Amino acid sequence: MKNTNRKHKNMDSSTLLNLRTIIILVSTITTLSVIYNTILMQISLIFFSIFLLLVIQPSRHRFNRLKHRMKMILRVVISLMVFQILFRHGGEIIWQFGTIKITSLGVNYGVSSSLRLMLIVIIAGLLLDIPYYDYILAFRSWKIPYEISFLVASVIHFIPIFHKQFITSREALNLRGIEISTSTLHKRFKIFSALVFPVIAKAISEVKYRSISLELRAFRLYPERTFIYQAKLKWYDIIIQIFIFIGFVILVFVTYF
Amino acid sequence: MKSIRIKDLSFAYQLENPIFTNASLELPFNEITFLKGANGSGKTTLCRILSGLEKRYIGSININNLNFKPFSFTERAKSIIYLKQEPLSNVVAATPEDDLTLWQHGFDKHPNESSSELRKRVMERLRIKDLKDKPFWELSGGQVKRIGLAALLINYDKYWILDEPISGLDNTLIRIFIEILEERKTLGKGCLIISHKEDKILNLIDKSYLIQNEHIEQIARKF
Repeated sequence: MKNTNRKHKNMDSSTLLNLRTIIILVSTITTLSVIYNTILMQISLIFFSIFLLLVIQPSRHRFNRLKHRMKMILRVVISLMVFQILFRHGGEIIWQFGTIKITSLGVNYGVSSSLRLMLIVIIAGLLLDIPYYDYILAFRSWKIPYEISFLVASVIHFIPIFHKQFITSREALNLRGIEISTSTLHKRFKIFSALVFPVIAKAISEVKYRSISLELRAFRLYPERTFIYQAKLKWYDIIIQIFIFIGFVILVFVTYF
Repeated sequence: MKSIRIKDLSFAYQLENPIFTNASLELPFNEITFLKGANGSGKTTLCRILSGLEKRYIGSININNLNFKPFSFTERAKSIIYLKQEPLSNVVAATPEDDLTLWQHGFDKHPNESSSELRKRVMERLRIKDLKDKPFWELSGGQVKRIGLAALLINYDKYWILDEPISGLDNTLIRIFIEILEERKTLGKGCLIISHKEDKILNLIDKSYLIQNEHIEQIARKF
């Protein structure tokens, strides 16, 4: 079967860049976030990620989802920051009350690690909702063995399955008159601890059927396989990739040498 | 008599694709109402609207002349129970025993002797006693469906909204289900049944409706 270029009609119609370029962008940003563990760098990377989201995926639906995710994670971010500030000690003492003390190192770590978590949530928005088939195509273009490509893509495919499973369980709870949103923190904790195991188990059992259907389709039996469409790089994808590579090398060189 | 009254209901997931346009229907709580329609006609959507899972509708849904829309899930769950078509989607806990306990007590109260007695009776009737501690993902679709029916018996006094309740059940269990419906009918307790298998419960049905062309129309009963 002759491979054809696909006119992206669904998800990719709003994705300006090729998935390979997006993966490189995401990897570079998260790597920079780890290398340069300063508050200023984390803030700069967050702004850059928001800018990328605005440019690459200008969809109202995605922004609403990002907003929702940020709202959900805000408590975790704040808790993480408070714990880091209170329990990580080092450097100058900024404030002290008995055994409780806040140090400059604690503040630095607390703020930067919380910002990094926010950055990951924002930048992950670029990779979500992309059909898993596009991941297989992207990895294939990088000459990664098909089995590994399929495995990685399946993990990405598992996220929406897991999400759907969680929504179904939440609806089942609602139908019993139990509302998570209006429950107390103690009750929420009880609900989530009761939900987590069945939700994961049900999602895994769906994956089990997927693996059975793979076997039935004689997965890996033939050395060659065809693809419905190809995801070719456009000229600006190539330019961006080269620019990222050169920029990254220069930045690391300037910092370390 | 207590009833759910739907008037001029309009609903669409996407604006260009309406599911209902000015549809009306009355569901008396003492009658068995049967609803059918082609695949994708909106049968499950109607159940979702009635159970409060979809709230972006236009028109009015009243229960005993009270507007149903602002009702919370807690308030709705006091008078109606909705069982979804996919058996596993009605399940929250890991085992049938835990799940039925959740139906009875939620996360608030501790189970007592009378409630565990009721669970035992219900499980015996539906022949799921041996499955009570088995995790759901090890049960077959039909077995999970039976747990759903057990949940109905736990919520006996509520109005039942059932989406394909007999699909996946063997003949013995269909007979048990019909017996349960007959019992309820004599007690003046009704339900809404959505199914493609009308013939199995034909004698019990009080009114039949068809969802077609975005409307709900009453259809004459076949004898």
